[in-house]
Amino acid sequence: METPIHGFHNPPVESSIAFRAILNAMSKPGTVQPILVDLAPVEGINKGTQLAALTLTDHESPVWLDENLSKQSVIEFLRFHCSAPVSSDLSGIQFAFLSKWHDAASLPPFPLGTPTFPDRSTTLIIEVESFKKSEGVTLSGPGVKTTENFDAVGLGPDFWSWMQQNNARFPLGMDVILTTDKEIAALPRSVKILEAY
Amino acid sequence: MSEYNFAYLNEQTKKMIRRALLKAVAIPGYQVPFASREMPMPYGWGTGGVQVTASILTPDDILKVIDQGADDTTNAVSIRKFFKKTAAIETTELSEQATIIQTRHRVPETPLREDQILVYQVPIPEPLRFLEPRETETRKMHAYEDYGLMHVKLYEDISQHGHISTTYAYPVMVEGRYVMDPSPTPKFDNPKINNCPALQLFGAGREKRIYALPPYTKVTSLDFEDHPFEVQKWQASCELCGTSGTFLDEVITDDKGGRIFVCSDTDFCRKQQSEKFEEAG
Repeated sequence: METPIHGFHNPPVESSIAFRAILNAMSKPGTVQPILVDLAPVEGINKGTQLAALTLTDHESPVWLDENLSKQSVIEFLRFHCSAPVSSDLSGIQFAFLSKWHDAASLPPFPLGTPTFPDRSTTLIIEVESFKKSEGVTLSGPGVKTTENFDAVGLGPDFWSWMQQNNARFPLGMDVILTTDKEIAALPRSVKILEAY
Repeated sequence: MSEYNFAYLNEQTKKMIRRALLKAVAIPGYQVPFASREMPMPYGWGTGGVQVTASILTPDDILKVIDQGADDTTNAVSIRKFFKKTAAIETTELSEQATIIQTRHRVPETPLREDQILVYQVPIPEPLRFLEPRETETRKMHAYEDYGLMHVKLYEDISQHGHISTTYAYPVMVEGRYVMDPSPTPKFDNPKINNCPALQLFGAGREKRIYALPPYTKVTSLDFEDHPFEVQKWQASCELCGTSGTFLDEVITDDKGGRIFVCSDTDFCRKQQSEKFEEAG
């Protein structure tokens, strides 16, 4: 039988390396983590998104795909390697995969967690073109020593103001993982956007 | 080696724990429930810490395990052996060399770095548990930031003893939002938990909770204006290395009341001893 799409070659080891990159990204907002795992291309998603899906999703974590990602190749990949149920019932979505940040208004009302269980929220995995460390916004908060400059090319104009609103709801809110073919970065709900443009 | 999956746990379990870890990092100080597994060691021997370590371990990591600061106690030795066998990783007793340090109730005296991760073994993760036994209630107290009870407890310490008599598992406030139990570390270590360059992860296996402090998180020990937080101080210095200002253990030396004080951090003590030895030529 032919394996339709490639995943990890050695899942226990490669997923551990992949997770360390995601953990580093989430615990050090504004840092850019290289993808150190060799992944075969999957039509429709970049390698960072592929990495996050392979490392974090399984049959217990319903996922949501935006219109551009709702392709046969992506759905088959998620089903074959992750057993992740692709769902349209927003209330249970753990990971939402976005081909790009469209705008805040078109973001579906994913769960933000509840005051007693703020962890029951959706994590957004958004594809971007590249990362910039020089310009952009200034980040602070847990995981950032003083401040950190950060920007991602390909985010819509209202992303940063949405992130500010997201942080204002803390401890409720969504966490964000940004992905390219080579690198990932993350913005947890705890991150403060000091200067948005 | 071949009979174990890398780092013992199966891949689905690791995914579940990894999802909980990311939430814990995103909400510093909040206790994330997770589906803790049975481990090949009894509860109370670090099943939570071991599951966290197993989920973050990569083949390149160098692991150090300490129990009350010591590398050579049964718990520390067996956890090191466990990961040597199931993950074929390198282990060390040197704090500087380690990339992951799993700890039972101490923060190493050697300052930690940004590229290190400290994993705590936690028996009771809920700081309010002895004040309010119902989980449904403590969960609401955290939701509403209703921490008056904890201040009453500290106040009662003062009214009974004249000072805050809590010496370990001293409650802390994380980024002004969640009251957190730093696990039964002595309050001596609380200042080291604040603004720490290393990522700190807490695993409670029996209680099925994971929580975290990202690097450089603001962690303040609860106190009162007229009774500020203070760490323990000793008259003595370490009998073996002569250093003062470290956390000291009292060791009984005979049955006639003889006692000495020694550093609880064995690696730090050994380093101080060899430095002194070199200075003396």
